[in-house]
Amino acid sequence: MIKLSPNDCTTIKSILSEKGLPCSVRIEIRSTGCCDASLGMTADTAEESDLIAEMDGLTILMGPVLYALVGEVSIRCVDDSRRDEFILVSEKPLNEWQGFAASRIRS
Amino acid sequence: MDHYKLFIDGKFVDAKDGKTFTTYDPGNDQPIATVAQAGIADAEAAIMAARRSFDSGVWSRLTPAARAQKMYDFADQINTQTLRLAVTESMDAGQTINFSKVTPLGFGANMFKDLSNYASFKFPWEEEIKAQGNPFDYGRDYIRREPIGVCVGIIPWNFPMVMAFWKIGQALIMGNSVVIKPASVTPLSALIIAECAKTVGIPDGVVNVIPGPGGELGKILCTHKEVDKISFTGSTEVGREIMQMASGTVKRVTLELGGKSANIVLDDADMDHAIACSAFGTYFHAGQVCESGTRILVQKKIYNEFVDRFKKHAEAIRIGYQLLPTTHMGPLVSHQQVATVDGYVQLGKKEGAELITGGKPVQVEGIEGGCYYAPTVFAGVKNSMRIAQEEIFGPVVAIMPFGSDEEAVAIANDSIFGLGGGVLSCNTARAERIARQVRTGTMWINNYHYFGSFCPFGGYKQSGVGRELSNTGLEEYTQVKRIHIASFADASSNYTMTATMSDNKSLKKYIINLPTKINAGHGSLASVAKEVVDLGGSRVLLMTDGGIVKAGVAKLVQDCLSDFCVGVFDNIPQDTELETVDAATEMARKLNVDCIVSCGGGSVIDTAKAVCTTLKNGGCCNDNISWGRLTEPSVPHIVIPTTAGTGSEVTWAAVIKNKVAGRKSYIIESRLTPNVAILDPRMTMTLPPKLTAGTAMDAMTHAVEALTTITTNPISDGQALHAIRLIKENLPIAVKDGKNETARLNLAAASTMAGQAFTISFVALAHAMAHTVGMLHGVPHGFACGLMLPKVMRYNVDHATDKLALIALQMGVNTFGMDKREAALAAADEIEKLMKEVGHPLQLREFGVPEDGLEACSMHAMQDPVSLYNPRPVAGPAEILELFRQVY
Repeated sequence: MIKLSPNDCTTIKSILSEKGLPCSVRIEIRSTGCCDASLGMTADTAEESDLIAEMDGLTILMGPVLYALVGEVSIRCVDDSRRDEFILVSEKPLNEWQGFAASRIRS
Repeated sequence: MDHYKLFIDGKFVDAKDGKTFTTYDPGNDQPIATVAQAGIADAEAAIMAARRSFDSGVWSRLTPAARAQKMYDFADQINTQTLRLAVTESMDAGQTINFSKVTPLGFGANMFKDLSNYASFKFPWEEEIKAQGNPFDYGRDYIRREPIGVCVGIIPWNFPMVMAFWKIGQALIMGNSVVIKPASVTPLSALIIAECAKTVGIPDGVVNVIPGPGGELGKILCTHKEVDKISFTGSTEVGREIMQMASGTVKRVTLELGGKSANIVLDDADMDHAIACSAFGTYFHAGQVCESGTRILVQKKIYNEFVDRFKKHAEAIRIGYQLLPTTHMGPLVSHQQVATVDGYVQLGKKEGAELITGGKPVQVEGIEGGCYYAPTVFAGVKNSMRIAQEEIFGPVVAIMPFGSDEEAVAIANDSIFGLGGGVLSCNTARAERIARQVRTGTMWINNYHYFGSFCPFGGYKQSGVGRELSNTGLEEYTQVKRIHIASFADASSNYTMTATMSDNKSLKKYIINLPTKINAGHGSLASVAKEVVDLGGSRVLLMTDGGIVKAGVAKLVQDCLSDFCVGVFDNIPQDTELETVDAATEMARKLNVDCIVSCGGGSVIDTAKAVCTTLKNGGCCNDNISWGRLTEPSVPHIVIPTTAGTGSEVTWAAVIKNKVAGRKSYIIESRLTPNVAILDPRMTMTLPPKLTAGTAMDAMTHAVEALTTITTNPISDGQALHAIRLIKENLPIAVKDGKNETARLNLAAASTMAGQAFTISFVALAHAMAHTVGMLHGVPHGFACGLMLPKVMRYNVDHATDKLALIALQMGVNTFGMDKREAALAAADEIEKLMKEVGHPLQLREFGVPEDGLEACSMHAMQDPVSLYNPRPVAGPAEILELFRQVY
């Protein structure tokens, strides 16, 4: 369901910890302006129907409808200078700009 | 099935790697066409084609008029393709045919013609800068607006044809070359427009269209060194990334991003109209419009009725296949978009908003497949909810109540976006008051989605940067270059060069601009009425002071003016102030005055000058404190001096006290110089001996300083020297016998000549010090000048030795046997001797200046701009303090 490197997993956990949030994020669709929705992460807790992935203490959630739409999602941190920004790429692209822009974890 | 190719360098070509993709009709999921898919190599080819075409000048160096002719052809060609464009757009992007059929004409051809015509006839490609705002050096300055270069236009899928028109049209009209990347789900209309460009002979490389995945092409388009500007319409997230990438090579970026616009329905709105208009604002093109009114704020008084009626209206919207003319609302662009919209609807329910209607995908009868979604209404929404803050980009609206107009504005502004918005009301003034307070790029009152070629469009806050359309949008496609041509191509005539990088501070250049007509002699006062007529005036404000009125002199002038005089302003203090000018200006405006006659000393004349410029240029006096800004003549001004004097009757300066700033402000404008000066000796005969001495020393200081500043020259030297002689010879006579008309006239002439001299050569440190004690301690200007003059002359002795020695000769000093320095010092001694002879005060303390105030005076004097013209550069306030102490 999710591809995430151990380093990037640690980064996500650290960001959540800095904000005093539980170690749990949801993959969701965001519409961030004219035309192109994208995938992003929000700090959230699990719902009954969610698909759940656990990695080194981090819980990653995705709704089944979304999973059916986009497939497996890869998450990577942009780089050290933008450690709080992530690029999410899905097996079935949401749109042509997939992989271009980064987003932050919404709390 | 049709196959569309890339358009690069004037040719339709397949992608270098042969890749293609298929585009689908979102109304029925059927494939429409295959399209070549551009890769990085194709992007490189397109950018370089644009670069070559731009640099060659084949388009960029045509005149705007020549480009306009080609753009008119382009527009006409678009018109011939109207039907094809409309149907293709509907099938590709899901737009209803009722809209897409008007797009090629309304938003394409018409826009091309409108903006091309504007660029040809009205756009300010070159503009003279009449007032440069640099008072130190002279020259001609003008600006040129030039094309930017290679522009990349990245187009979204909601209005691909309109966006292609905007980005191609504006770039080309302004002489640029363009590379367009249409959205991959809607590439066709841009390629048809490219066909039109080729048909009409737009030169190869000027227009290039490369559909391909943004994720792959985005980086090269935004970072390529040959790209000069990026115009992007799309998501905020992608826009942010583009801005970051473009910053690496500092490209110009225009972004048109998302919105969450508020449509405000006031309690006095026409309800039928409010329902229909706000539904249009939300559901037009299935809500896939960046500036859609997706938050409807309804005043509490009408909220329940509005929600109820809006629900019925939304449910009556006919969803159907987009090519049917009976369809109100077509499909969303893709199934992914349906999923996104539906995700937000589920979120809205989860957040506790009340789903009033809709909220689900729809199957259209008779159509298999398709991306349809029901018009959806949420009520009971809080503005903090995600469905109220995030752009859904579908047919979903959040309706919220509000109490006061102020609350509506606060809710509207509580968004990271600021793209559009509306107000619905029967009270236009009320609607405009609200519209002005909403921080957004466009506000529609009793309308929505209304655009025009000359109406700028763009966003505040995270809705974007820059504007499209109108002259504002066109300017975004140009660069500004300023060209300066020095009036004096000589380093030794350049103030800044000599002041900063030369040991010799003298300026070689001089400019003689003495436009004042002078009527001088006994009885010349009678000429005033004729001068009013010659200046085109008929309603004169006579400006004077209480002393002149009391002495009966003002009455003489009024009688000469006869019916021309419509008012008298006589409340002018010894040192005029901003407030005095404003009061006089107000009187002049009320009386509809077209000419000013001033009768008095320097303060009266300076007040009148300031009134002339304020009357002409508007505002208050403080708006018109300027140096070299005026480009047109002021209100006509005739001066009748009653002192001899400030020389203000022929100078282009006015000195006005600014109490708030605690210093004197200067208006220094060549167009401030009075038109006529009337030197009638009878006007100065009532001046008491002490004032005669004080005002004459003002004139003496003008003459001496004009002779010794860094801008001294042969013409002003002659006037200054003769003025010095006239004062020396006639002041003692006039002090002893005030009724001696010859002496009075000679002193008046000396004052005028000294005034002309310093208009050319300026004044210096003695005046800086005099201004200061006048401002801070009320020392009358003439006396202040006289007190400082000999001390400053001695201070300058080694930097103006020759001229000071000449002054000694003019003062009648026998310099035989003296070296020049001795003669220069003798000049200062002779000035002091004259002052004693005529009873001029010799110490600053006589005017009540406190000794502990001298330090502050020296700081202020240092900052007076005239000190810059002193022949000896002033090293610091300590030197000035020493001079103040000498005269104390």
